[in-house]
Amino acid sequence: MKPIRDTVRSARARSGADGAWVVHDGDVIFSERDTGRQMFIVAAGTVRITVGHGEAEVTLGVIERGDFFGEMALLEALPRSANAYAVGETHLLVIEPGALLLRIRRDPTFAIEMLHRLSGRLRQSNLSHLAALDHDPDEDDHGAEPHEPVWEIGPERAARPFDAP
Amino acid sequence: MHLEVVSDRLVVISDLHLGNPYSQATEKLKDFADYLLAGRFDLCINGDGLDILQSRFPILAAQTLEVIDMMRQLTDAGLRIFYVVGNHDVALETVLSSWLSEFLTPFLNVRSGRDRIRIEHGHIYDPLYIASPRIYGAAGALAAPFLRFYPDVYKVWSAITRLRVRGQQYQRNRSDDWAPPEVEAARMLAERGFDVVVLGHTHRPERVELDGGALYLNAGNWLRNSTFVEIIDGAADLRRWDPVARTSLPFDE
Repeated sequence: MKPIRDTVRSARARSGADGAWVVHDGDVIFSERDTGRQMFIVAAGTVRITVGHGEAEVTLGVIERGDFFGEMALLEALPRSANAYAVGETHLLVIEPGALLLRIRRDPTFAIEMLHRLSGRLRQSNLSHLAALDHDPDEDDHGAEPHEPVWEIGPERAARPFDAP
Repeated sequence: MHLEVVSDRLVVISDLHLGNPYSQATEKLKDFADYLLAGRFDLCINGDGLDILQSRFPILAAQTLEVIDMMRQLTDAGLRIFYVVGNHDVALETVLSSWLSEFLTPFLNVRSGRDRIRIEHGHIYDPLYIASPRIYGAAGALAAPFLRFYPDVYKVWSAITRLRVRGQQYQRNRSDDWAPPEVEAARMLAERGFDVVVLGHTHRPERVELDGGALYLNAGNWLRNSTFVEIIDGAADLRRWDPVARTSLPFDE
C-alpha cells in the first residue's frame, strides 16, 4: 500500500475550516496507531476500513459516498484503531477537531446523521457480539471467510429496511 | 427516524399551508393525487403542510381531513408518503405522524437511481428564523391579517430577508460575491456528497446549478402556486401542476 501522494486540494474549503483531499486507489488515508485527529466524509468514491488481526488484515466495512469515518480518533483523542484505504479515486471532506463544532453549527443535520449512523453501527456491533457468543467453537474451521466484512455500512444498507412500501 | 430511503419515482411538494384561509392546496391536490397514482410516485411533503400560525381551526380541520383521504388513496395503492417537518407544523408532529405519514422526519436522504438527494424544509438556514424562532413565529402570526389584503404577503417577507442578509454580507465582505442563505446551505450539503438538494420554506420555486455539477431546487409552494419537484431514477426536475388542464408542465422561470 502506498501513502497518500496526491493531495490535490488541501486548502480550506469555502465552507470554513473543512479541507478537501483527493486520494487514489490503494492510498492509505490513515493506519492503525496513527495519531491523526481528523474525521472524513466521503464526497465521492469508496473507502475500505480494515484492522490487523494476528497475521491477517480483516475488512471491517466499506464506507460509501455520503458516509463518514475517522470520527473515533477525533471524538476520543485516541490513536487510530483501524486502517483506511481508498478504493478507486476518492474525494474526501476533511474535518479537523476544531472545525467540527462550526460544521455542526452551519450544517446541523450532519450531527443527526452522525448519531443515526453511530447508532446503526452500535446495533451491528451488538449483533456481532451476540453472534460470537452463540458461535460453536467446533465449527471454527467451517465458519465464515476470515476476510469477509464483519459489518457493512453506508447509505445503501441504511436505506434497505425502508425500501419496500 | 427514517432518514435514508430509496425511491426511484418521487414527487416533492412543499408549503401547502393547509388551514390558512388563502391556501389553494386542497382543491389542486385532488387531481394531483390522480397524477401521482397514475405515475406510481411516492410523495414527500417537504414541510409546512399544515399551518398553525396563520390558520383558522375549522378550515384546518376540514382541509386536513380532505387531504388525509387523498393520502389514503396513495398508501392504499402501495405508494409511500414521507413528511419532512417545517417551521409552521413543528408543533403538530404527533398529529402528523398518526394522521398523515408514518415516515415523519426532520430531513430525508433519498437514493434514487445512482444519485443521492437531500430533501429538507430549509427553515434552519433562514437567518431570521435562527435568530429567534419565537419572534419569527409571532411575526408570522401577526402577518395573518394582512393576507386578507395581499395573500402573497410572503413575497414581501422573502424580499426583506434577502435584503437584510445581503446588506449584512456586503458590510462584512465589501464584495458582490453573494448568494442567498438557502443556496449557500445547498452548496454546503452538496460538498457532503449530495447530487441534488431540494428545499422549501422560501415559497420561491428555484433551480440553481452548483459548483461540481450538483443541483439546488426549491419546490416552491402550494399556498398560491402549485410547483413541485419530480424525481425519476435520480433525475430531478422542477415542474408546475396546471390545475385547469390537469397536467404537469415544465416550470418556466
